[in-house]
Amino acid sequence: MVRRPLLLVAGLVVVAGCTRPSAAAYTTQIIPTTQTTIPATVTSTSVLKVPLPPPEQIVITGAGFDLHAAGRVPSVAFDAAWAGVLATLNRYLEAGVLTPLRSGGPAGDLTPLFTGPAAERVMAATPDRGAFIDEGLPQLSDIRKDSAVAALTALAGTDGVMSVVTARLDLRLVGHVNGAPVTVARTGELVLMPEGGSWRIDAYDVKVVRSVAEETTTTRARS
Amino acid sequence: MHVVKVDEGRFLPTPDKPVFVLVMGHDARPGQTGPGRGDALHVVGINPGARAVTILNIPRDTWANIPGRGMDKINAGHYYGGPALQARVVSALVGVDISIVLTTSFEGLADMVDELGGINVDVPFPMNDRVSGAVFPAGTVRMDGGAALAFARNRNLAGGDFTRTHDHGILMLAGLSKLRDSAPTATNTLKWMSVLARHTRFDGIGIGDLYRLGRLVLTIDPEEVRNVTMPGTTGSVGGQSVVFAGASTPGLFADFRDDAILQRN
Repeated sequence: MVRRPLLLVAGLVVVAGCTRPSAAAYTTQIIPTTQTTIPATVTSTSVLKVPLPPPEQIVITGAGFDLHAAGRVPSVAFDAAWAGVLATLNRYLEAGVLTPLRSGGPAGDLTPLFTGPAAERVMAATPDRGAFIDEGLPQLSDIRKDSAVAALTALAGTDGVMSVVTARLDLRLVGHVNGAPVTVARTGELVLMPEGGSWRIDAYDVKVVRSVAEETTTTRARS
Repeated sequence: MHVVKVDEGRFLPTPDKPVFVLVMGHDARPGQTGPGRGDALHVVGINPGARAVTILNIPRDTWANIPGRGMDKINAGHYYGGPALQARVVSALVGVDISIVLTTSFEGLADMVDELGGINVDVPFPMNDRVSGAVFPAGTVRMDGGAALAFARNRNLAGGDFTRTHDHGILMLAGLSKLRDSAPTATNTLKWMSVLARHTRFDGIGIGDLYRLGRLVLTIDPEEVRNVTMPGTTGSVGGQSVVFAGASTPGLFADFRDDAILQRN
């Protein structure tokens, strides 16, 4: 007669040190096992994978909204403009900053976020690109924000149409590589204008200070 | 003020191409019918890459061709066809493509200076003219709108209209210095633009493009601005006192139009 096992609990083994953290990364944990009956003819091991918590959600939020208008601006247009500008800033954050920092690889496509002349300057291999895009750094783990805000100011003409928005940016991130802290602090002003149905960066005065271990570099770009 | 875009397309300055703007005052008085004549004509050439500017002053009595009208004083262009025709006439004379015309009346000039809170003007020599009200010592003089207008109107000068036109360039430099002294970040510039917009009529250009022009101008250090008046000689045509371009004028224009920077003058 085959004895039916009453309880079989698998032991799990921790896998230390994920090598490519991502939203789908997994770890396994040791759980104390209790084994009551294990038929000699039955052996079983299994490993349960428990997903890591996803990376901290980092989003640029508005730190003040100011308006200089020569005419009346409808509140619907006001709200839409702020939302549109913040959407562009966060697409930039994701593609130009978080993607390369989390992967150690290239940035995403930022071309749609800039007007033509600005895109040419930032997309080329220039210091302007270095001020905007965090490529060339080691892959960082555990990235969190110390600050991710933009103070927005808009200009509207006598027609009440918001035509220019400036964003004073304060974006400071901290991560780790091999346990050592890395900081990326980016400040400055972006000028955005509506084009092609979205708000695009047309001009900028941006400085980024990157500290990796004992080394600090500063890159500035101004259009 | 009246801002007119006289060429096609958006205003999109690039580092490799100079920009030419016609800044013009006209003599139309409130209640006067008709556009008035261009009283002061200044071609402002901006080199975005070099962040340098040349203000080329054109005497209003310069004898020039007015399309469809024949030869006349250059300032008749505004009378016959407004800012657009005036720009065409000046463009043809100097050989540059003017993209934007900024026009102001006497009252508009005074209002703008007062909006700025006054400007500091480098008066080149003592002035004492009761007709215009220009009574100033030589040196730096703080001027409100009324004083700036008197300075601009003074014709009681050695050199006559040549000197007066040159003085307008001095006023523009004073305005630029005042704006730069207010630490014009991109955000601060929006405030000034909204003030300007309340006093401005726009034709063919939106405030976004005007902002681009303003931002470009505010990157210019006043030390990198040349203020030059077209050389010429006075004469008479049909009883009118006119100005004929000088022998060196074609060379000056050629030096100006290639990159808006004077290398040989």
